[in-house]
Amino acid sequence: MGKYIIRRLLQQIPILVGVSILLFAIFQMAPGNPLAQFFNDPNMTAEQLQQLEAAYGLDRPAYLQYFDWVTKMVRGNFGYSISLRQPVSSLIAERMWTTFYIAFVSMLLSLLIAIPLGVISATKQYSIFDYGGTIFALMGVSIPVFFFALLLIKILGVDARLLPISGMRTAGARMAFPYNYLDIFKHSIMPLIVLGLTGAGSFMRYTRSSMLEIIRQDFIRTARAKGLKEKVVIYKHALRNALIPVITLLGFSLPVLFSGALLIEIVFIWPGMGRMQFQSVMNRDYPLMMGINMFLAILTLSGNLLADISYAFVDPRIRFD
Amino acid sequence: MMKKSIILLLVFSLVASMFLVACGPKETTTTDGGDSTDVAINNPATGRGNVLTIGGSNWNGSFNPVTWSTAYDHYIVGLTFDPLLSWEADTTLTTKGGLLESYEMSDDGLVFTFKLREGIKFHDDTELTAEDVAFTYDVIMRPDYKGRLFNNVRDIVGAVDRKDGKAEVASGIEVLDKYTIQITMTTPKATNLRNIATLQPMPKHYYDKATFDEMAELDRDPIGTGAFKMKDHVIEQYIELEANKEYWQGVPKLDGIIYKHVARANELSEFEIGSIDAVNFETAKENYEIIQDYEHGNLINNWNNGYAYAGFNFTNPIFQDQRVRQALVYGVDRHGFVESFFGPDGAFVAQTPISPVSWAFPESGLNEYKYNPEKAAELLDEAGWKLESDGWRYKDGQKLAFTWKTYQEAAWAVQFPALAKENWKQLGIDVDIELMDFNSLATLLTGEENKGAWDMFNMAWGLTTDPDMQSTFGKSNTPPGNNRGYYYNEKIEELMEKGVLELDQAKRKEIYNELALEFNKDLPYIFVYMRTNPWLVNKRVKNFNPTEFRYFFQDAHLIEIVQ
Repeated sequence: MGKYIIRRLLQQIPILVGVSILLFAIFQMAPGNPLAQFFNDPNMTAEQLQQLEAAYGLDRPAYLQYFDWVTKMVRGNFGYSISLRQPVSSLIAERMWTTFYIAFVSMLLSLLIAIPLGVISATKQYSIFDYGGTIFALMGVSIPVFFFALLLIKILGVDARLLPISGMRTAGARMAFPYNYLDIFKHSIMPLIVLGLTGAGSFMRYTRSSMLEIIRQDFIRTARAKGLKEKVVIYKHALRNALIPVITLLGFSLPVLFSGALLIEIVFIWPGMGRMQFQSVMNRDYPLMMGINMFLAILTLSGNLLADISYAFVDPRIRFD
Repeated sequence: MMKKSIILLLVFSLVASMFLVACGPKETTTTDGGDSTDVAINNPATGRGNVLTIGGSNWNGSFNPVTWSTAYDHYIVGLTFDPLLSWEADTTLTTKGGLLESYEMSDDGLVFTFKLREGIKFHDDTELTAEDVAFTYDVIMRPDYKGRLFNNVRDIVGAVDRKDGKAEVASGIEVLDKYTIQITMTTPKATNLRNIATLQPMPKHYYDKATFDEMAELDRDPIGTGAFKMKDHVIEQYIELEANKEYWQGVPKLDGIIYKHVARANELSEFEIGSIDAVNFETAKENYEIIQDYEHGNLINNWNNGYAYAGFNFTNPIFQDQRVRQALVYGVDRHGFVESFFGPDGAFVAQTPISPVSWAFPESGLNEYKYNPEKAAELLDEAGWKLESDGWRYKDGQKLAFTWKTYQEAAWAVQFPALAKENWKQLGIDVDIELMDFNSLATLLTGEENKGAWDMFNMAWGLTTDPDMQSTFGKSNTPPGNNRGYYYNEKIEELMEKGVLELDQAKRKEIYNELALEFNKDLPYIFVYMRTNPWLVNKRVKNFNPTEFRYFFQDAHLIEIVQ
């Protein structure tokens, strides 16, 4: 197992180098210019633009810019964002955990809703529960996040005035220990409902279909034949096997946990990575784009590794030796 | 089977009822009309105390007088720093509200002597001196400067050498004593004083770093002389400022100001429930309708100093004919578009690149170019573009057809070209619209090598307080400069030059009045609209008075909250 992990980690180095070259090349080739933020200033002159290009080092050949970026990056320096003027690493760091919190809790919520619903749907196939669950899943997948969010704000925030409309904290309020976290929790209820419900749909469908496949297999019939209780058959034998594809899905979700939910962040003013990433692309903020995407690339690779390792725990047929 | 359909029905009716609840008529309390304040109104904001909360879009975090680039960063800079000279509502420069006690200009218009008020303290309790002013100019001239303000200091003697790294200091900046500084300019321009005196000095001991990037790391903790100082900055959430009790114009009446990030989609809802006191809301017809229900709000409906336009590429022979440009303007229903898009309170049709609230705007004589397809057809016929049997116009075998590049980020930028395409099609003009993202479009237009790649585009300009427009229409400013359409008109070129060099205000006014009429006739752009810049302010707030040319943060120490 240890050897396997080390081998996998070593394999990731050339992959990351390749990813960085690819990202850099794509960003350079895409139309646009990081200095476009200055283009719409009526006071801007050609002379000033040339000076800015030189100050940002954008006038040098692309391969030199890449080499410069790599040499700084391996020393942990991701450079400065062009549009936000702060170090890229601190921009990512200050949004990382708020992004993770909302994504992780909403994913738990999704799973809590989706797995039982999926199991019930599968075991009681074509029943009322199954149809109800399917409709619920379909709604969750297809309702536009933006619309659902505004609907909630209208009902809970403006009409009932139960919850704050947006933000993560009450502006300017200084609260003592448990209350500051309660404040954050209160502000996160609506985003969590939106993300949790809309995310539950796809998890539920995965659980249902994989459960359906499992309960038709021989070992389940064997388990029933040897007189095990239905509960044990379903929840111990079937579910454990049915969750294997869900684990793959979770492994792929690791970068998702940190990449942010753009629309949620825009509507609910949640400080997260999604909006910053979107803005960085719109502004062609090369250092910030590279920083965020490399961060997500590392998470994607780690997520895959974690998924592979956790297979060993849920599936005794898999051994890494 | 029956059972299933009942369940389906139940689910759907549940969903449907949710929609109905959301869209149903809102209960509104009726008032006896009028906005008399004696009538007790239910004000949801009163619980928040002596702190003004302003809602708005997100900031970039460059709270630095020489690097800010968005309007929201500018709010914070304006509250935490003071300019050397302030200005009146009509844009006249004044020492009132500025850090200068007095200033002088030599007879040749080249040398300015600035005398600072004594005893003004920065937020860290150090005194403002002439060295700080000199430092502020110098930062902008440094070779690694990454902001937009170099044009403000460009005409100081030695500025270009300093920028190119050929000099350690600009020789035109001379500190005479602790409170006096002398600036020498290369050319006497009417814009000189405004350019150098509206900058806000920064404390040298705090901001003087080896590299620009190091200085930028201080951007979130500004130290200035302003009425408010930074207390807390929570990324993407809010900025909390507290009153500067030592403020040289008097102790601010507010305890603090919070600038809260709110979503465009929710900005009016936030105002409705009272979580914000003031919002610079989006100009849109429906927003003006919504706010009529808010009893606790006052509307300040200023004009925005700027305009939206569709530009021509003058390297394309089609657009070189003035009659064709006039026909294109007559041939698109700008008045109908502006009316339906912004409503009667939100915008009007622009006719010239000068704001109607500027002193430079002519009192009469502007052609309105009301939608007139017959006139447009006439002009096109005159210009030699004849309608053929296939419904399009031709001249010497060439079809009257071109491309129009626009961007997707703004609704008007998508809808206006679509309307023009429809309107012009009836005249026999074939337009091909291409939608891009703003950054790609701006990059395309700024590259000189791309001048053959487009025919028309549209964008908007924000204007400065001075009407000088050489940077947008001058022949020396073609791409990568801002004269994106390669526009050149001899008469206009001369007038613009005269306008900058004339120091007598009455004569300047005449020149710009004439320019406005020339632009209106020659049409370097299809001028589309000038919109409002509306603020909705809670009635509990007093002395919050932004005007067309003055920001709410000028005189922020006078803003008051009355419960």
